[in-house]
Amino acid sequence: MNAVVSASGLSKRYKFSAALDGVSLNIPAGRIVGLIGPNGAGKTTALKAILGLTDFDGNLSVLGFDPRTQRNALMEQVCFIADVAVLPRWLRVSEAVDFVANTHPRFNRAKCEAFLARTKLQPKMRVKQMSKGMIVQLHLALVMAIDARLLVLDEPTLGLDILYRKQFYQNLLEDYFDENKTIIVTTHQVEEIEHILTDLIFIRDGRIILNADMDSLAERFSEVMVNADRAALARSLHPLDERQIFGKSIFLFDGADRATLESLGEVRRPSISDLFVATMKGTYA
Amino acid sequence: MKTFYWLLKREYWEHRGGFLWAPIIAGGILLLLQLLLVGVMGSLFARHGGGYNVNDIVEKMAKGNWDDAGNLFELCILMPMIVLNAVLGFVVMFYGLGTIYNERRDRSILFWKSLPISDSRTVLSKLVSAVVVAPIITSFICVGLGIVSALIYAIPLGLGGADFGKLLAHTHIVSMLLGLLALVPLYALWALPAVGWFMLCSAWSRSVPFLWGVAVPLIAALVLWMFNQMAPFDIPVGWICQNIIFRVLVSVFPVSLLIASGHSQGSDPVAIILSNYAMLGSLKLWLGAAAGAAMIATAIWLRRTRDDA
Repeated sequence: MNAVVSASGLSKRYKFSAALDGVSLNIPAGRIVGLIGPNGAGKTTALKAILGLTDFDGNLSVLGFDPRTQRNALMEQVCFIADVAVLPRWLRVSEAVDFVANTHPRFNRAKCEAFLARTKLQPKMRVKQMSKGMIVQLHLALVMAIDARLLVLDEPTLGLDILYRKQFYQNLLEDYFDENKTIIVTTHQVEEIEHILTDLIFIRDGRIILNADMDSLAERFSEVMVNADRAALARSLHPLDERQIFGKSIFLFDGADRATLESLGEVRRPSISDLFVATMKGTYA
Repeated sequence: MKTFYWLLKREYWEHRGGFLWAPIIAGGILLLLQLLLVGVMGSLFARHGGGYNVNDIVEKMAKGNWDDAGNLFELCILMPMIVLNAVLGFVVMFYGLGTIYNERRDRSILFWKSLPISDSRTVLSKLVSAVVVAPIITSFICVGLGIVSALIYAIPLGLGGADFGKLLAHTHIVSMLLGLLALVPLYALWALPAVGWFMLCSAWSRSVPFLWGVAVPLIAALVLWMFNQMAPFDIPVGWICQNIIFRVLVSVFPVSLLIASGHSQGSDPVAIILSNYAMLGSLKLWLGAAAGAAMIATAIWLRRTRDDA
């Protein structure tokens, strides 16, 4: 099985910091990968490298292409939505569809128009007359009509209300994603994509600190709610994190023995956001 | 080819205001002025001596001086076109300065770069929009303007009982208009260093490309001049201004081409207009075009490699 993205020793230095510091990763086809990290961790730089938008050191192959030198061929197979507001303000819906239809060999006009018909967008409407949510609907309609193998989403729902956000991911799952496609997404709204991800990558200071599929994640990490009288015992097992709720302590463990934990209290699967907060502790300190 | 056509169309969609409406509105204002001059102030001008007007033409026709009358009539119609070509110069200049900078500023470059279109095609489509599409649109508007303003003059002339047909026969309006279109390819070559420079500034500057594009050459000229005044160097400031600074700034104005080529005298405007093509034999034109091409190539490279959007 050919990897969609394979990187080794990927590095990129800016004047004051290292945005990527020897990143190595492999993303197979048919996955939905969440690339999660605090601000300035290198998420966007990693995506830019994958999209051939920036120079870097190390090896990177995307769908078998080198994004630095084979960008044009690569972009036939890759789509990206980089942020909410990158469609130019003067563009009309009809112009956007016409332009992409005539310049992208893998664009399906009928599909795009079907998506647009489900929205309130009118052909004559300009981007500057749309709300943020509508702009994303337009962008998503364009992108979903392209038969690409890799879709890269960089904070695609930033600033949208919850209705648009839910709809965005629902459309992607129902009408776009299949086993031949791969989606890489970065977002700060981790809870919303938690249930659609197949893989999770945590990145911090330009390094990958966690790279696992969701199933193994559930096996590895557990959260236990412990009564105050047994808290000391739990602490002796070296938890990743501890927080208090209603007089009880919640401990997060990495790879602890399941039976031991169950004797301490109620064990459950931690949410990605709790895991994230625990792993990223001290990032801004 | 199809992609390039749609790229040109895209530029036109975005810049309809500059490419189409600016010359149309300027032309409309000029026609209004003409109507005013002909209808209200026509005779007034004659009394004060300055300028030309309908009465002069009528006078010359009455004296049987048809060639002079025709020349005068031609001039009346030519004037608005000269203004329109100055408008074109400004449109091309601001288009060039903005085109690559603006897509970075509004971050739409990230959308355009998500499509499988190379940077060279995109930048070349912007160049062709500036030096071919915009001039052709302006030329066609000039043709329309010429026809309408001829009609504006025809009415009072006709009312005065003049043989308008005979007057037209002594002008070269039709061939003048065709000549205008014929000059577009030469203009494209001539304007290349200026448009290349503006687009380079557009691709390169982090903010205010206008300042880079216009102020830097002017300040360079000033510094050279002052340097020459203070020190006993013999920098050929005049030559530099004329062949570099002037070319980089003023070549977008079509009239600069006519001045530089020192068009020959004669009665046949087609011959005069086409005589500009003698420029094709001058090193000056080709060196400028080569410099322009180099700057465009640099702009392409910059658009491809910089990632501060």
